[in-house]
Amino acid sequence: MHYVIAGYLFSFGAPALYGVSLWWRGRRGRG
Amino acid sequence: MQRLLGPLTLVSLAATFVLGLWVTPKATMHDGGGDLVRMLYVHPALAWVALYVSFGTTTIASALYLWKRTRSNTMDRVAYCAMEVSVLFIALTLITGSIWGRPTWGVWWAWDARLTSTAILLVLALGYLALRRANDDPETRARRSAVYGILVALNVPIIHFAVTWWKSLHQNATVLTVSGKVSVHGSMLWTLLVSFIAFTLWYFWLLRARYRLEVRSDEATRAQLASAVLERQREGA
Repeated sequence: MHYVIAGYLFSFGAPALYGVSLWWRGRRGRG
Repeated sequence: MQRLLGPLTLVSLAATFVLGLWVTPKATMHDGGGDLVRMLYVHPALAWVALYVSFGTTTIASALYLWKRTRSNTMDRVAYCAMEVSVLFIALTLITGSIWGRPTWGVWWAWDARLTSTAILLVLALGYLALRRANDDPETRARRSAVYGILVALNVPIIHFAVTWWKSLHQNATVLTVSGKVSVHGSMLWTLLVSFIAFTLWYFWLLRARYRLEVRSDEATRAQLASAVLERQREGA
C-alpha cells in the first residue's frame, strides 16, 4: 500500500504545488 | 463554463481520490498486485493528459501559429504554456510508472520501448523550454518554437504504438485500443473514466492559470520597455 500512497502523493501533490506556485507568482506580479 | 472549471476539477479530483483508494476493489491474489491496482486511477490519466491533451494543445497551437491566417501571440503563448504543463505531467507519468514498476517488475526502471520513448519525450519537452530561453526576439522565438513543437510531437505516436511495435514490459492498451474494446469493468471502469475527466480538467485549469500569468508577464515587459524608451528619449532631449 505504501507504493500506492507514494503514487497518489506525487499525482495529486505535484500539480497542486505547481498550481500554488502559479497563484503565488501571479500575486507577487500584481503586488 | 469558465467559472465552473475550478469547482468541477475539485469535485472530480476528490471523487477520483475516494473511489480510487476506498471504493474500488483490490486485485485478487490470482491477478497479482493487490492494492497496486489503485495506480490504475492515476497513471493512465496522467499519461493521457501528458501525451495527448497537453501535447495535442502545443501541436495544434504551434500549427496555427505557423499558418499565416491564424498567426497570433495567443497561439504562441498557448503552445508555450501547454508545453510547460506537459513537462510536469510527463514527469509524473514516469514517476508513477516507476512506482508501479518496482513492486510489479522488480525494477524502478527498464530500458523498455515505451518507457524510453517517454523519457526521450521529457528531454525533448525540456529542450522546447530551453529553446524559448535561447531566443530574445519574440517573433523568431515563436517561429522556431512552433517548428520544434510540431517535430517533437512526432514522438507521441511512437510512444502510443511502442507496446505493439516492440516487445515491451509495459502492458498493451486497456482503454485507447484500436478495436475500441475496453477490458475494464464495473466500479473500476467508472473510476478510470472519472480519473481521466479529473486530470483533464485539472490540466485545463493549470493551463488557464499559466496563460494568464504569461499575459501579465508580457504586459509587464512591454511596460518596462516603453518606460525605458521614454527615459532615453528624455535624456536625448
